[in-house]
Amino acid sequence: MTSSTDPALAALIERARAGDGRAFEELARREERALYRHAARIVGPGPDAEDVVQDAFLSAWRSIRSFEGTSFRAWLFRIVTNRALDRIRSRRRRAELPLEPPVDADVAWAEPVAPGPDLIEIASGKEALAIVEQALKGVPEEQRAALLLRDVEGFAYEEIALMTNTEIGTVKSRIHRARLAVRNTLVARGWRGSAG
Amino acid sequence: MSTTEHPRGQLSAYLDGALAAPERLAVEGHLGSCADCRARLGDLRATAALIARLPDPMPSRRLVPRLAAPPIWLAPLRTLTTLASGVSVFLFLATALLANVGGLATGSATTAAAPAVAPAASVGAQSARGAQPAATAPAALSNADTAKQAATATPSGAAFSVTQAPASAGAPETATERGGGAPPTPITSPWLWLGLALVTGIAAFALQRRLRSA
Repeated sequence: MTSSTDPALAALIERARAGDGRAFEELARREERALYRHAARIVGPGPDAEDVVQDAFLSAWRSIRSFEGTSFRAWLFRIVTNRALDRIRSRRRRAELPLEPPVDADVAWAEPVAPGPDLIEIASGKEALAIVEQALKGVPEEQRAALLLRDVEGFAYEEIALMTNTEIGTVKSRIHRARLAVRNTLVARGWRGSAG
Repeated sequence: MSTTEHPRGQLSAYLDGALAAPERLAVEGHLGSCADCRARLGDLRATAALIARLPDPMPSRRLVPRLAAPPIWLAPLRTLTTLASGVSVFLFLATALLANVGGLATGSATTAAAPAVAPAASVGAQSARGAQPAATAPAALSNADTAKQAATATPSGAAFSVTQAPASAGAPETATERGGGAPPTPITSPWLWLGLALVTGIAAFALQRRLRSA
């Protein structure tokens, strides 16, 4: 969704940049749900995630004139991701969370221990989704944010690097670690993966 | 990259099409001959598919700020509905109180409804007559209306009580209710004012929220 590919969207962005509140509301409404799900999976669902998105919208509106990129959506996701990560860090400073998140030290591949359903077979199962949801919570938030931006929102590595102010190599490593951690949790819960 | 060295750390980037051409070709070459790496790639693909299919959590409130200015009539309408709600609450209490006082005045006699209503109606008519010369306040008009309605309602009310009295010997509660309750005119019914208070109150609350979020 870039301004260059969709003339109607480009027109809305132009109107918003010119100070049209209604145009901005329309742009924000298009991404409201996706931004909330992203924030909710970083800070946890509820008022915190809602505040993150609401603050991000206000911040985006205040600085809309400075938006010059090609993707308005990526710009909004950048603001929400950074605000969500800031919120996690401030929570940690207030000692609500453990000082260090659990880290998978050397990105090991857990080996299947018992026969279980094939990962592809269970891909639509509710149980598998619940395990994935749980596994994501254990992934360090910067890795989690990168993985969600890739697997849920479909952003390219280059876009994620820009959004999170990191090198593309870091994005690669974060996505791989996070995805592997989720896969390892599934394997630990009895899935034998594609290898079995 | 040799085919014997497993490019496990590259599999996610390969899956996402994020490898430069030489790396991608090397991984592809390896995958052609390594079932283990193909299986791991399958795992990662299945994991990514699961993550993409997670159900969306939904916000409990609207997150998009209202940036467009609210319509100009919104604030006066809020004030008006708030006032209407207050007046309705007052009228609800007043009519409910009057109905109760009326009930006490009729005493416990279940057949005394008609005499009780009749004096009330005549008092109402008198007060209406007294108020007519002033004829400026809307309250006086509504009083006159009430009186007229009460007066017209009286004969039927009396007939009702008389016919009901013998039949209701076994059910004194209902008879007391009907005899001691407010006259069946809509304007003196506490429920009308309670309903109106609720409707205007909800409207005022909604308008206030809309104004606040603007």
